[in-house]
Amino acid sequence: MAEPSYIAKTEQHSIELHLKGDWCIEQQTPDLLEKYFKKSDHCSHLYLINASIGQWDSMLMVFVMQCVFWCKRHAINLDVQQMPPAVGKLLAIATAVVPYQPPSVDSSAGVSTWLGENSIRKFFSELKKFLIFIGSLCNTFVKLFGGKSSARKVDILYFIEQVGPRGLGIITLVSVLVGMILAYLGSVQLRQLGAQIYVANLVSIGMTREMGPLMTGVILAGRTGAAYAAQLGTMQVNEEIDAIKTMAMSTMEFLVLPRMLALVMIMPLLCIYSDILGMIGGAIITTGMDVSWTQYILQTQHSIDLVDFICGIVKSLFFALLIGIAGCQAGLQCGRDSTAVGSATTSAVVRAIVYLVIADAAFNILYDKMGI
Amino acid sequence: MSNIVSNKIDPSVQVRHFTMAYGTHVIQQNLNFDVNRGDIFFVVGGSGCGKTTLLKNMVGLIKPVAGEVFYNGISFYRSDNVTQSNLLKKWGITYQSGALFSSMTLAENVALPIQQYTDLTGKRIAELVDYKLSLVGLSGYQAFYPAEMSGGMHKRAGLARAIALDPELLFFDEPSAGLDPISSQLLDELIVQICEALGATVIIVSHELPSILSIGTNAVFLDAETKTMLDTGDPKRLLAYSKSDKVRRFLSRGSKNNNEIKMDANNVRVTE
Repeated sequence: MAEPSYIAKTEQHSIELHLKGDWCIEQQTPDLLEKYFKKSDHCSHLYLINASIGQWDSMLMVFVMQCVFWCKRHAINLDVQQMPPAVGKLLAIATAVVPYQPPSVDSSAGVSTWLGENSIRKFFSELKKFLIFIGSLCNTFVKLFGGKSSARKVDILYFIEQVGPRGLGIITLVSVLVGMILAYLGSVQLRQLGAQIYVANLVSIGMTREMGPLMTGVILAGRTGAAYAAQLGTMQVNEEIDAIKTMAMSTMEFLVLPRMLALVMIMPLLCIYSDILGMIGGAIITTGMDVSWTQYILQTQHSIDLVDFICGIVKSLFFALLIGIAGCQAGLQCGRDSTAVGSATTSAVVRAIVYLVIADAAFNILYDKMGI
Repeated sequence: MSNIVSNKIDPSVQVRHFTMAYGTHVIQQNLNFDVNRGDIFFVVGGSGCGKTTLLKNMVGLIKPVAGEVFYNGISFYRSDNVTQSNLLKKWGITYQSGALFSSMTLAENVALPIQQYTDLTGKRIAELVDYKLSLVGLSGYQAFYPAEMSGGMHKRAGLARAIALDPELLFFDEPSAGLDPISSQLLDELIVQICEALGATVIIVSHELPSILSIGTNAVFLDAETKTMLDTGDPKRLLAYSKSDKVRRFLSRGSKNNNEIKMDANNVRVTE
C-alpha cells in the first residue's frame, strides 16, 4: 500500500491540496497542518484534488472533515469536485445536519457543596421517597384488609412458591452450619469449665432469638430482595410499569403487594424452620463431645420457651417487611437502562442488610428494656 | 448444489437450504439465495414471518436447524472460532432498538470497535467518531448517554457504531422503523453512499416499500403461510415479472399513488 500524503500548492486566491496514496485505516494518514502551506490574505478557495488516490475509506473523510472545519474557521470555500464522487456525497450527508450545541452546564459547585449541601439534600430526598413509599404501602394494606385490593391471587401464590419452597435448600444449609458454628464457639469456652451441656442453651437461645431471623433475613435479602429489584427494574426498562400506570392500575397493589405479602407470610415459617435446623446442627457437634442426644434435647427444652420463639418470629416479620420495601422501592425507582437495573439490585441488597442490622439492634434494646 | 442458481457472478453471501426453527416450531425452511457484492439486499416479508430470525441465523446468534451460509465462499457454521470472529470483525450489525451500551457515552460506544481493532491514536479515533456521528446526524451528542436520547437517535447511533470500521457487510434490522420520513430517506441515501464509496454489501430487514423499490438491488421474499421463500431477485424486476402472485401484489402496493388506497381485505378501492 502506498503511504497517504498530500502536496499543497498555494495560488493567489486559492490553495490546492493534491492527495495521493491509499487513505486507509491501516495507514498513518496525515493531518491538515498549516505549516505545509501558506494562506494568503485573498485566499477564497481550498481545492482538494485527487492526484492519485488508491484505496480509501473513512480516514480520507476524516481528513476532508478537517479541511471542512479549517475552511469554516477561515471563511474559505471548500471544493471537493475533483475528488472521487462519493466523497462529495458523503460530505453532503455529514454536513446536512447542524451540529447540536449542548447548553453549557454551570460546574462552579465546589467540593464543600458536593460534600455538604448535595449529600444532605440527597439524604432528605431519599428519606422523603422512603416515607412516601411506606405511606402508599400502608394505604395498599388498608385497602387489602378492606377487601378492595386488585392484587391477583395467582401472583401471590407464585411469589410464595419463589420465596418459600425454592429457598429451602439454601436456608437448610446455612442454618445447620450456623448452628454448628455456635456450638463450636460455645464448646471451646464452656469445656474449660466442664459445662459443655450449656452449649445447648447457647445454640437454642442464639438460634431462636438472633441467628434464625437474621440469617433467613440475609438470605432472603440476597435471594428475594435482589430478585424483586431486578424484576421491577427490568419491567421499568421494558415500559411494563408505564403500561400498568396508564391502565389506571396501582403499581403498589399490582406489583408490590403480592411480593410483600409472600415475604411476610413465608419469612416467619422459614425462621422457625431455620431455628430448628440450627439446633440440630448444634446437636451434631455437641453430641460429639461427651453430651448425649437425650441430654442435649432435655437441656434445650429447659433453656427456651415460647417467648424466645416469638421474639424471633416478631423480628423476622419486621425483617420481611424491610427486605420487601428495600427490594420493591429500588426496583420501582430504577432508571431506564441496563446499568440502572444493576445498581437497583445492588442498592436493594445493601439497603436490606443495613435495615436488618439496624432493626435487629433496635429489637434487642427493646426486648432488654421489656425484660423478655 | 441448489435448485436456484444465480446467474450473476461474485456472490458475497450464499444461503443454502436454510431451515430455521425455535424448538420444534419451524419458522422458515429451505431458503436459497445469493447476495452479490455491492448489493443492497432486502429481506422482505410480513410481520412474524421470520425476517429478524433469518438475520440472527445468518450472523451466528442462533444456529439454523439445517443448511449453511457462505461468506466469500467460506461456510460460517463449519468454520472454527477464529475464522468466525475474523468474519464478524468485517461486519457491522445494527439492531432494532440500537443496542447501545448504556454505561458508555455515545462517543465511547462508537469508539469501542475502533479501539479494539485498530492502533489509531486517541485524537484520530475522536475525529473518526465525530465524522461517523455527523454522517448519521448526531454530531454534538458525543457526551450523551443512551438513556438521555430518543429511540430514533438510538437507532442512528447504532448505525454509527456499525459503520465505525467501514465494514464489508452491513446488516440492518428494521433501520427506518421509528424514524420520520425525512430521516429515513436520509438513511437510505446514506446506505447507498456507503455501498458506493466503500463497496460494502448491505442486507436489510425491512418492510418499507419505498426503500425497497428505491434503493434495493436485490431481495428475498419470505412467506409466513408456506414457511418458505416466495422469490428472490431485483425488486424492480420482480414488481413486473415475479413468478409469485403475492410478491407482485406486495410490491405493486408500494408503487401506487399516495392518494389511492387499496384495502386488501375486501378489495375496496378508494380513489380521491
